Amino acid sequence: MKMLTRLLATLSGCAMAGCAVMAGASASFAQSIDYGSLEQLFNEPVTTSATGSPQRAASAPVPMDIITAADIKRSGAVDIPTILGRLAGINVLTWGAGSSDVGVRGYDQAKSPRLLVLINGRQVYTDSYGYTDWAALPVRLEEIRQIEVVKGPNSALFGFNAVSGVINIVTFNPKYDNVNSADVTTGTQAYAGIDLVKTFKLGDLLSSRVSLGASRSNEFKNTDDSQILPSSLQSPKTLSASLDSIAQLTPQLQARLEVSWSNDNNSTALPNNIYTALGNYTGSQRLSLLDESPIGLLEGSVYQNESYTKFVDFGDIDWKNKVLVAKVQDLLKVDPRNTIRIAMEYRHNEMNSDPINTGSVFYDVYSPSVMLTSTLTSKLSATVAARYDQLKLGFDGSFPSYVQLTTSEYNRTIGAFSANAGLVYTATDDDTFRLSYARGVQSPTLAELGGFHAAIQEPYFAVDITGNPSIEPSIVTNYEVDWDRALPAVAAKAYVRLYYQTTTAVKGIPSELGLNLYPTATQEPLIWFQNVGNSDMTGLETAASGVLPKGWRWNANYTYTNVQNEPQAGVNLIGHFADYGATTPKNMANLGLGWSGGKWSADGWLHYTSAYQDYPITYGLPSLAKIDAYTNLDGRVAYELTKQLTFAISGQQLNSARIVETVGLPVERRIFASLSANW
Amino acid sequence: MKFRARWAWIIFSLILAQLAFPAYADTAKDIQVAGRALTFLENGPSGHVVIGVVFDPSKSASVAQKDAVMAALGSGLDVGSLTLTGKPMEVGAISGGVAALYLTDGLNFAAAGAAGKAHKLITISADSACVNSGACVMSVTTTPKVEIKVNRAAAAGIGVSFKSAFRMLITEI
Repeated sequence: MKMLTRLLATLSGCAMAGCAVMAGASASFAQSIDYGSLEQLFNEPVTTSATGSPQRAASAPVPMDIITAADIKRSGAVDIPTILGRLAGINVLTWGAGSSDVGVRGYDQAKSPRLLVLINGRQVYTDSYGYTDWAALPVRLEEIRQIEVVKGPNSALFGFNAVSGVINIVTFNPKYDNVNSADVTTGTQAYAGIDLVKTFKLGDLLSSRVSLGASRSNEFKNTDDSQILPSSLQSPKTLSASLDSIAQLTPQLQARLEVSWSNDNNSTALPNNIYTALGNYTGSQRLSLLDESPIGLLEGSVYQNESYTKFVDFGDIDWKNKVLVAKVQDLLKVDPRNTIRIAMEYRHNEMNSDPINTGSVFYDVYSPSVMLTSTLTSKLSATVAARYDQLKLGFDGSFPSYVQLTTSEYNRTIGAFSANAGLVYTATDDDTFRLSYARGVQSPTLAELGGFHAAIQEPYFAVDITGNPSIEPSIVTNYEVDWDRALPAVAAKAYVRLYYQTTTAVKGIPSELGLNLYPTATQEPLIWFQNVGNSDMTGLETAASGVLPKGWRWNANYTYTNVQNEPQAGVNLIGHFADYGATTPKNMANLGLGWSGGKWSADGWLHYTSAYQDYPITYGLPSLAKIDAYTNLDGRVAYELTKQLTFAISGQQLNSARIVETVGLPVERRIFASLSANW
Repeated sequence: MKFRARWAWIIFSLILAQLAFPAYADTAKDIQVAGRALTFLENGPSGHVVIGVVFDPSKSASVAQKDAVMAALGSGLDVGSLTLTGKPMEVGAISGGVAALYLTDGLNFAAAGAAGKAHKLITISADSACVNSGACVMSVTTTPKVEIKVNRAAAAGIGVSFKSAFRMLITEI
C-alpha cells in the first residue's frame, strides 16, 4: 500500500504542482503510443492489446480483428455494437433502441459478464455484474482511432472478465492527432443525436481533447405485454462527456489525465430476461505517467470508476459500484530478440448490498504478471504471459432477515492463474500461422457474491434471491490454430481460425425453476447464483477482405460455433439461464460491399444469424423458445458537400420493418440522416 | 452449373495471378518509409531534412535507384513532421550537411558505411545485407510488406538510438 500511496502522491503532486513547467523543447519525447505514425510507417494497424507491447496487427500472437476509424466512419452506425456485429465471431443481442449485449464466440446473453471492454486500456464495463452498458460508454464514434477485438481469453494481460474476449477502444491521442468534429443526426423512432469533439494544443507542452455527446430516441414497440410490462419501457437517452489530456513533463516523462462522465436511460433485459427501465450513471478519472527510462517504458496509472445503476421497475434497487485500480508496469526490449513486461496491479471493488442497504460487499485483488515475447528465428516468434490474481473477499454490515449468510462466510481468498502462449510462424511473405493457448479466469461478480438480495413476490408464490460467497470462478481455456493469408495480386487478405474452448465451473443465474433451498414453515424458498457445470465449444471463423479497381471494397466472414453443455448432476440449465448450447447460434455470416468515387461513397452490409433459442419468462419461470434465423441489410450513402462537410443517410435492417431477434422487443428498421463537419 | 463453372474459373484465375506476379521493390515507398523511420530516432531530426543519396556512377542499377529516389523526393516530400529533400553524392564525396545517407543498390557498402560512420550519419539501404554486415544502420523494404531492420552496434557506433515503441516493432540484430 505504501508503494501505491507514493505513486498516487507523485501523480497528483505532479498534476497539481505544475510539473509541466519542467518540460523542455527537445525533440525526444516519452511515447504514449503514436498509433497514427506507426500505422502509416508499417502500413497496417499497430496494437498493444495482445501482449501489452506494441505489435503489428498481423504478427500479434492472439486472434484479433481491428476496426479502423475509416471503417467506423463508413459504418453508418450510431453505436458500437452495430459495428462489432459485422465481425466474424461477434453476436449482438439487441434488447431495445438503446440497449444491446455483445458476445464474442458464443455464450451471449442479457448482461453477459464474459467480455472485458476497455477505453485506452481502462475498464468501462460495469463491475457490479461485469456487463457492459454500451450506451453509457463515454466515447464518441468520431474520436475512436480503432477498436481492437481480441478473441478468446486474455486475462493474463488484462485480468478478470477477459475470458470470451477483449474489446479495447483506442481513441485518438490528443498529442499526435488533431481531431475536431461536429455531428448532428436525426432519424426514425424520433432519433436525435449530437456529438462534438475538439482538440486543443498548448505547443508541445499540453494537448487535450474534449468530447460531448447526447442522443435520444423512442423505444421499439412492445408487441407482447405478457412478456414485457409497458412500465418496463422508456425512451432511451444518453449524455456523456470526456476529457483526455497529455502533458509532456520532461523529454522522457509524459502524464495523461482522462476524465469521463455519462448518464443514460434505456429499457433492457436483466440476466433473467426480465425487462426493466434502467438508469445508469458512470464517472471515471485516470491519471497515468509514462517514463521512457533506461530500464524500459515505465508506466504507472491509477483510476477510479464509479457507477450508480437504478433499476426503475424494481423500486428500491440501486446499485452503487466503486472500483479503484492502480498499476505499475515496465516494458523492456532486453536484447534484439526478447521483450519483457513485468507488472503489478491492485484493484479494490465494492458495491452496496441491495435492495436492503445494510452492508457492502467488496474485494481486493493483488495481481503480479509477466510477459515475454521472443524472436526465435527470422520466421518464428513465441510469446508467453502469466498472471496470478489473489482476491480477498469481504462483507461489511448485516444481511436482511431472509438471507441465511454470515459475514464470516465472506472471509475468503480466491487465487487463480491466467496464462497466454502463442507461436507465430511466418511461413512465407504471404502466409502466417498462429498456434495459441489461453487460460482465462472469470471471477464471480460482486452481485453474484452478495451484492444482490431480493425478496420476490410472484402472483402465486414468493421467493428470495441471495448472493453466494462460495461461488467459484469460471476457467476458460482456449486452444487455437490460425492461418492468415495475404493475397497481394488481388489486393486482399483472408484468415481461417479453428478453436476448441472449455469452460469449467460455468456460472448460473438463479430462477424459480432451480430452488436451492425449499420452503419451510418459517422460510420462503431461496435461490442463489451458483456454478452449474462445464461447457465445451468448437468453432471456426473465416474472413476475407480486399479492394477492387474503380473504388470498390469488399469483406466477408463466416462463423460456426458449437457449444456442448455438461451440466452438473441435478442441475436444470434452463432454470439457471445456462443452456448455452441452445442459446448460441451455430452459424453467422456477414457480407459487405462498398464503393467510393469523387464525392460519393456507398456501403452495404448483409448479416445472417441462424436459428437459436432464448428464454421466455412465465410467472418467473424460464423455458426455451425458438428464435428463427434472420437476415439484416444495412446501408449508407454519403456525399461530401465540401472537404469538411459530409451528408449521409444510413439504414439498419432495411429488409424488414421488424425482426424478432430475442424474446424481448422486436428490432425495428432504423433510418438516420447525419451532417458531419470535420476540421 | 454454368454459374458454378464460371466462379471456379474466376477463383482459379485469381490463384494463378497469385503465383504469376512476384513482388518488386518500390523505391518511392522505401524512401518514404525510411524518412518516416527517422522520426522515431531519439533526438531525431525535425522540419526540413536533406538525405544524401549515395550512388556509384559506374553501376547502372545504382544510378537508376538514385534517379528513382530523387524523383520520389522531388522538391520536398512531406513525411510526418519532416520534409525530405535529396542530395546525390558519390561515395568519395560523402560529407556532412545531410541528416542521413541512403545507399543505393550495388554500392560498396563497406566503404559507404565507413564514410557515413566517420561523419556520424545514419545509413539506410533497401538491401538487408548492408545491415547484416554492419555497414548500414538500417534497412527498409516495403514490398511485399514493410520490413525494417536495425543493426544496434552500427547505431551505437554513430551514437543514435530509436524510441522504445519503434524498437519493439522492428527487427534488431
